[in-house]
Amino acid sequence: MDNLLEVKNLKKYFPIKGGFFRTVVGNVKAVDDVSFVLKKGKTLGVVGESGCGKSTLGRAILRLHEPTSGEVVFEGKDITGLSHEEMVAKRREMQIIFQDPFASLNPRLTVFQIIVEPLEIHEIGTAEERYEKVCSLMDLVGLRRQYMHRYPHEFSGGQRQRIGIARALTMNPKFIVADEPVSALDVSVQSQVLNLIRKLQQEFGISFMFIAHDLAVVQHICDDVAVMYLGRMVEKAKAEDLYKSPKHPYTQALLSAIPQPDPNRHIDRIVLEGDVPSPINPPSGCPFHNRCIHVKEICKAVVPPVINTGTAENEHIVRCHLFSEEEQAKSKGETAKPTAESETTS
Amino acid sequence: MTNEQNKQETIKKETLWTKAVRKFFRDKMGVISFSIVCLYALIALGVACGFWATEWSELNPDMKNTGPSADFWLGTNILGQDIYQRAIFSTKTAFEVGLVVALVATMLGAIVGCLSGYFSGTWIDEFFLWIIGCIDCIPFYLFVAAVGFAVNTLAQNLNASFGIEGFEYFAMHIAMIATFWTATARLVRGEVIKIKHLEFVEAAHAIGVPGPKIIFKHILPNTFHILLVQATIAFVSAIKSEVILSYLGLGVKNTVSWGKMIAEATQEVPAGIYSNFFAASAFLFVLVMAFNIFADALQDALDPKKVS
Amino acid sequence: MTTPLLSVKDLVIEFNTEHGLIRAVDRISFDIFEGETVGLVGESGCGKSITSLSILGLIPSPPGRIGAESSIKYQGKELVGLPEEQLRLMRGHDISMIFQEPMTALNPVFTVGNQMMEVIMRHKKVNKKEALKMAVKMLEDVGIPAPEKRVHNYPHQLSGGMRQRVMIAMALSCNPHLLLADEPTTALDVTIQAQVMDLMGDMQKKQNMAVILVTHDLGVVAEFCQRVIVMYCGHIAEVGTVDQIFNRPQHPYTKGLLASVPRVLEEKVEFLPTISGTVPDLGNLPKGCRFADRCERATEECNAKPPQLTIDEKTQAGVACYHPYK
Repeated sequence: MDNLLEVKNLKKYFPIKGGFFRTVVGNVKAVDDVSFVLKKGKTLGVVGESGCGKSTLGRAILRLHEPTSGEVVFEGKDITGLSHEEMVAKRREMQIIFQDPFASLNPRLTVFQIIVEPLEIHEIGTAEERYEKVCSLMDLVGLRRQYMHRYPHEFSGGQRQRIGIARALTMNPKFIVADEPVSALDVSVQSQVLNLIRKLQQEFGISFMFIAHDLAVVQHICDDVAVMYLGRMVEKAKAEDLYKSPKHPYTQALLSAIPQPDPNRHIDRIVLEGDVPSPINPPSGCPFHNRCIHVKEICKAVVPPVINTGTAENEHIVRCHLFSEEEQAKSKGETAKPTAESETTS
Repeated sequence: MTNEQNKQETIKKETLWTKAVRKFFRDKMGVISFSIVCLYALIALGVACGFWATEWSELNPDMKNTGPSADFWLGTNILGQDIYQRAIFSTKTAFEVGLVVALVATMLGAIVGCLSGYFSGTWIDEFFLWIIGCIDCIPFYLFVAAVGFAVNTLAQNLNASFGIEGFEYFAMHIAMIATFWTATARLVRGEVIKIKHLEFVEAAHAIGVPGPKIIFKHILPNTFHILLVQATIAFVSAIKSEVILSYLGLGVKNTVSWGKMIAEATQEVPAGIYSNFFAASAFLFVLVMAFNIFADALQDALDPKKVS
Repeated sequence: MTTPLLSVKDLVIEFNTEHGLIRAVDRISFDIFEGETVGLVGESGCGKSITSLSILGLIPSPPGRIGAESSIKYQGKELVGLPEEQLRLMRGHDISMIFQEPMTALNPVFTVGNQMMEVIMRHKKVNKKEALKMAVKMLEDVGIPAPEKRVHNYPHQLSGGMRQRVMIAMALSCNPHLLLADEPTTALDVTIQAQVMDLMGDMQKKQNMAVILVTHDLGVVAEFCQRVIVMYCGHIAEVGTVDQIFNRPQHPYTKGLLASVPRVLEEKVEFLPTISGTVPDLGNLPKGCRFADRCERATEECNAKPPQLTIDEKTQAGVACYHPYK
């Protein structure tokens, strides 16, 4: 059993209330039917633009946002049905690192109080043991012990991010959701924090789900990379495969849009037309069809199925009609159905 | 590496509070007003300990309505009581009313605001908002007077039926607390709604911190700056309202206050005797003025946007 | 050599803070020539945004102030100390600016058209009708679909990318000679960023204006600029063409910065190269070179006295380092 985390058809809808009686008039499909498997000690990168639901996905897995439907199987056990007490116990093993180094630390607590809090909540260790633990954590993330009794505002962005990482590590978790942990940092500090995360992967075998908006950032620390668009996972593959041969037109555009600090390299950029549509009212069929250069009739009507273009053990999953030549015959019959319910998950 | 050390060492070890205090003491008007408030507080403390103004209620039947003299610095009132001593003694009354009302009303507002904000969108929030809305609908002094009157009657009944005494002394306090907490609750609710979406609260959830602990350890302390300013505002409002209530006969019992002195003066002023009126007004004016400036300076010092 | 469009000399910008006087920008000099695109890069707190704001006289004062010996010459005209009314006439007309966050730079209670017409009518003698026509034309030029409808929209009705297009349209409505773009794409998504940068490139060619692109994103600079000014801690570390800076960086900071950028590569690397330590506090700067603490090539000399930047007249390149890479 080397699957640490298995997410099956996870959905998170935020209801939109309107009208006089505040009834539900619609849903924002922040995460719509996402499935993936994360093996022990591996890292999954989740990439997408703002509003694609990548942060919501991370929080839904940790049940910080209660998922609307679907399963989150952690170490062989579905955690979506756990009671509050059981979930609190599970939280020792699943942690999160946040994006904003300023909002993620309580300004009224000292570094020691912040890092030691999980131990207090779960009543682990004596006072001395806790103190020792905090010391070793601060050493681990590269903070000097002397600063233990200082407040967060006395630190720089990079150091605050290290405090956040230390807090997540306090309970020796097996799985950490890193929600854009370096997006708010300067370039030179960004690489320091990325290297720290790399070290944690190697030394402790922690599995990460690394959320980012930039494909360049996740390349070095992820084994698998998934691309999200409007709440759906449109492509997922081994990092090497995804960067070498991106399949989905959106991944291709995203990859080519990253400005490279190399004036010698001139790649033909695919510049997408228009904006990301609102998730309140996403386009029918494939959500990407209105910006896609390869758009066909079928894309406007049918949600593309999940297709594995790779091998069984080396999956390269794409949700695009371009790769479903043999699937088309099957899906044609379903074209008549107006809703997205016809999709199947492999 | 050494650089990082340098940087850390240069930053003064300073909490948010010490920073606010330092900022406050750079504001000259703030410091002056604060000293005046402290002086008043000292006077009130002295009265409470019985150091001075002990003869405030003593009657001098042969010295009615006299002007200022060596014995009676500000003259005497219609009963021959020393106005100066009465004004000094009233300082204690004012502080007592102000402190009790400010503390209790702010605490009540903080708790209600916190719960309401934390559970925003649920029936708990709706319920508290409804209560706040109802209280805010009623004209302020009318409501205070009504509650004061009701509690007063209740106190008398309690006294008559069960022999419980002294409850009527707090009628006015209760009346004011009943109205003052709503403003604080509204402000705290807004701030809590803002804070509860911050990532450090989410981090607390992720660690498994139970709800009440999140509210009182992570959220409430981050609204202290609002509470402190609200408490100062409630303090001033309470002292001012006490004047009105005393005038209406709903004020403090068995003691003297500036409001009572002004109420007495309503009979004296038509007769051309102003000392009672002026003494009370002057004491009241200076304290309220100083406290307002102090509250403004405090607000500036605590403003997180300016603490950068 | 032609005379520069903009010439900044010994620019000093100081801020009065609680911890005393802080020099955010310390005696920097550079020239911008007509029609060229210059990237002003550096990490947060290096003074790049403040420098661009000072050109338009937009430094909040107090607490900020421009040093007495500073000089900013635009087409030979001294801008430092110019009265506010005259500066206001130049803003938008000769020199325009685009900000990072278009939502805060646009006034939410006026329509897009209203705000654009205001700019046009202030600088050009046209009536309302003509101004509206020009506004619609500008929106069309920046690629906004259905501009005659969009002109009556409020900023919140537009998406982030659209708003930035409107900002560009507004900034360019009076054909300025110099455009200051302060992190124009930082708040945007990657695919939208590509659109906006393409648009800016097109508009620049059409109007032949000079652009100062203030950014922390080295990728954007490499693709968009001809010359680069690298700032570190209020000083200019290195100036050069994009080719020089990216292919043959001389300053250890530039080299370190370039190495630490995560990029899409064929080969996966185990650990990214980093620059150790953090940027020094502006209130407590080292005596010598400000990068010395983090530099592997630092010697006694570096700690004693800050190196001077000498810009070659001909190539407009230079480096402030005692031990530059060759």
